[in-house]
This record gives sequence, structure tokens and C-alpha cells, in this order.
Amino acid sequence: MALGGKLVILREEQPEDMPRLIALRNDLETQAWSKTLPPDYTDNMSLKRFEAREMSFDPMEGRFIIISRENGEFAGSISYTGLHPRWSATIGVVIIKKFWGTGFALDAQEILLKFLFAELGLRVVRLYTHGGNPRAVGLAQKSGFKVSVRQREAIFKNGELYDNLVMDLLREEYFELHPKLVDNLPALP
Amino acid sequence: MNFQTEQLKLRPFEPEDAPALRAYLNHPKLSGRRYVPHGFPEEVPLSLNQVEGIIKNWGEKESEAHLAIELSGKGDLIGHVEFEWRWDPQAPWISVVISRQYQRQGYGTQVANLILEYLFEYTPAHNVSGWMADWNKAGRAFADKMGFKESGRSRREGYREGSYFDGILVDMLRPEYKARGGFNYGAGR
Repeated sequence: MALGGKLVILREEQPEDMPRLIALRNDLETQAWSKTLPPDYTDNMSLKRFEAREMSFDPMEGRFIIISRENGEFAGSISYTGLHPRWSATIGVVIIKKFWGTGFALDAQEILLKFLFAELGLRVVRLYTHGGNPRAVGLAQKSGFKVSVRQREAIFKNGELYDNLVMDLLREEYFELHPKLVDNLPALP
Repeated sequence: MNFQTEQLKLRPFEPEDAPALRAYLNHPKLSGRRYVPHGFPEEVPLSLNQVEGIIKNWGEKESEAHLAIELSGKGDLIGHVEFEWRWDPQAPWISVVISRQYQRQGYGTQVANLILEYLFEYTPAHNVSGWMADWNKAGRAFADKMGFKESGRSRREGYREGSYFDGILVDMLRPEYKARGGFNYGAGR
């Protein structure tokens, strides 16, 4: 069953998504990477990356396609990587420009956070962005993330030097922002 | 450049270093600051086989270096230093580990100065960063003494003695390195 929200649905990647994912990565505005990638990736490269994934009961990452709940249209991609089971993971979201400002990214982020905290039992979720991406910082703050690290002038992108930002959201902070959810994970300290 | 001072030299690890490396990594006082791959729990003693695997792993990776710290003359292995530029050569990371019995004798300062000299005078590094747990007061004081500045605290990096702890990130910019007098600043050189 796909993960559903108010505006979007997160579903698994399929081979037919590759051209759209490549279009996102080959656009400097949407590649969502803190160093510039060459905009020369091909559908075939993407397909190989897709095919390299194997069935596992212990995956350290999850990758989802974001589609519009209303009409199933492709809207972007969201993922978590670097999973430390029952502890932490890092998330990343990319939305096609057509859907900027629609609330799709926030909805997708909230669906993924619920999965990470309520299903995977994580204690903290992190994300990385940079000082030249106020949209990403604002989106993260809407879900309760706080900037915890500002590594000075560590990113060079768009011809500018930016600070590298680490943002994090603790489990307790997430549940405080979602009072209807009950946290039954045994507390540590 | 010569990776050495009057008192010590930095050299690649060799398979025969495994017993000496294992001996100091397994000292209980070094747990939580061993800077070995994450797959090994910080507090659990390492077998000779595991340490041989770590040396092999260190020797195979590109865009990172792991050097043994050896006392001049005696040839004792007293620690290790690593620096990596996988993400971006402009923003490399450094960590220094001195075995318990050789701490507080100025060796760490000499090693850090050699690596800072290398990174700032032989590579395009602009921001050099380091990381330590918030309970590691000696590590924090060492970073301070070296001229690093705190760039933030990544919350809930781990769990130790019944409490969560944060990761303290520190960094030094190229102008700050120059302002402190470049490599001539180093004690013991």
C-alpha cells in the first residue's frame, strides 16, 4: 500500500519514472544537491541505478515517487538515506517547479516523517541544505526542523559561497507537533 | 612535504600494525573517540581479524587518507590521523586519535598542524572541519587550542552512559589558518 497524505501519495519508483527523475537532476534549480552536478545524466544511467536495488529485509534507504492525489501526476521524489535502525536517517525532497508553492513538498515530507517516526521508530531525523536555499530551510522549519549546524562557507554553488546547514528534528518534537499521534516507543533516558 | 616533526612521523598503515592498533583501540578510555568505521560499535572490543579488516578498508578507499602516527626513533605506534575530501576537496574533514598513554604530551597538536599544513598548502581546502561528542571535553579543548570554531551541535548523535549526546562540529577557514601564521604556528616544529 502506498503512503497517502492530504495532497500527495508516495509510491515506489518504477522504470517509467526515470525520464522525469533525470529531468529533475539535469535542472540546476531542482537537482537539490549542495554541489553542482553536471546536467548530463541519461535515462539509461538512472535505469541502472534503479536496477541495482535489491530486495532486502534490511534496507538502509527508502526512495519514493511523489504523485498528486487528485490526478496521479508525477510531482517529484522524496527519500531517506543513511538509516541507523531505531536511531536516525537523513531525508531529501525534490519537487518539479510546476508544483512549487502548492504544499506538495510539505505534505510529502510529513508523510515520510510519520513513516520514519511511527513505523521505523527513529529518535532523530536530519537533513542537509545550504544557506543559498531558503525554500528548503523554510520547508524543513514548517515540519519542526531546526538548524543545528552552520558549517561556514563550505558550499560553493551558483557562483556563491554558502554555509552548509544541518537541520534536525527530534522524536519528541515531532510528537509534540502532532498531538493526535501517540508515541508508544519505549523512552531511552 | 614531509609528514614528520622532530618527534614523530606519519606513514601509511601496514598489515603488521594490526596488533598495536588493536591494543590501543581497545583501551576502554578511548571508546567513543576511536574514529573507526561506523559498523563497529564504539564500546565493543575489536578482534585482530576486525582490525586487520579496518586497515585493509582504510587502504582501499579513495579521497581519504588514514596515516599511522609513529614516534621517531622508537617506532612505537601512538595513534592515527585521518582526513577525507569525498564530498568536496574544498571542505575536507580531519580527526586525530592519540593512544591513551601518549595523550597530553603535545603529539596531537603536532599531527593536526601537519595535516592542516597539507590541506591548506597543498590542496584547495577552504573549510576544514572536525567532529567530537559533546562529552569529549579534552577533544573540545584541543580543537579550541588549534583555533577551530564551533559550527554547531548535531543533536542526538548517540547514546552513552544512559544519556543522549550531541555531536559538536568545529571548523577552520583558510583566512583563519593564515591569520594564525600558517604552518609555522605549530608547537613542536
